Amino acid sequence: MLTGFAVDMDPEKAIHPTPPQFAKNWLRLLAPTAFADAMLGDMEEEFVDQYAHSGADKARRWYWSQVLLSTPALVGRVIRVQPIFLTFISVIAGALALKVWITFALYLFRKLYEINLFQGSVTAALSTRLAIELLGFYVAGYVLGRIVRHAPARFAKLWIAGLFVLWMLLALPPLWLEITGEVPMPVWYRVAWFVLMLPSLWAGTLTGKRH
Amino acid sequence: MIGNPKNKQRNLGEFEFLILAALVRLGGVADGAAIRVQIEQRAKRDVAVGALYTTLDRMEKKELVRSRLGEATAKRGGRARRQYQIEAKGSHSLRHSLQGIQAMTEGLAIRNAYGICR
Repeated sequence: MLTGFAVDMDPEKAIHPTPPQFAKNWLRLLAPTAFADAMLGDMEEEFVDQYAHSGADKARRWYWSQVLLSTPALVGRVIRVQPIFLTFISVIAGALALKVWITFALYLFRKLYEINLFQGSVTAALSTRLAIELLGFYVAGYVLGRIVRHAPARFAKLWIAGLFVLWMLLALPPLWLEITGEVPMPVWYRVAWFVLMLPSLWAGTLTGKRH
Repeated sequence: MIGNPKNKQRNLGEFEFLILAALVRLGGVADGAAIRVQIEQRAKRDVAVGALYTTLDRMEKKELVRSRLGEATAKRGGRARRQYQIEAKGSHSLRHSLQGIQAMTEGLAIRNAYGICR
């Protein structure tokens, strides 16, 4: 078994240690070709030194800590320089925020309904539903805005279009039934609902972009 | 003038400033690993390798530094080093930022919680 001690004693004969493969692949995925090799080379060199002087565990911990600390900067760079990727992840993030929020809120709403808080008042139920979704779209817009705050404004149209497609997909009868446990909405209703929510989505996006 | 875009271009971020200062200390040319060690030792600041290279990449686009590939070694997994060299624009920006910092800190006494100047 190869140990740090064995490496200390005879570094030349020791097997060349390599960093965790998954961590290396992750960095290679995020880093541009312009500096990926130089960055991975520096890290591997430091990893080999740490391995020889402090052992495998410490070297691996150091490597993983560098991966974790480097990820935000590398992801931030990708978002700044790759608009298509940026649009893709912003739409996914926004849709996820929307889906998680609405699903959670509707679940709570149903529970409250079950314990008779809203029974007997359809108006209250509808207004609560409206409030939940307005807030949901606002949060989704805010997430979009935060992610794309350095992007040109023309991408806003793409975000909205992408979110609209996802909203339509999300509201497909089997999915909608799965998510909300309610009768699926007709297409015209889905479109009208999205249009109704647009100001909230837009306001959230602007707020996110300014923060 | 404050509104002059040329003046705005010369403003360096804190990390950019540290990188350029490290490069000057290392003789104007150094690889990423040497820059990182220099910043960690002198500024007592942990530097993520990814953040360093991302910033160097941005600085290269701003023409503050330029880079060329160096030698590859087995210890580096056969990957080449990238040597960074400070450009005239980088030196100018560094001097400009340094003058600003010196002007702002001249005669400045920072007291700690006990009222002692450091």
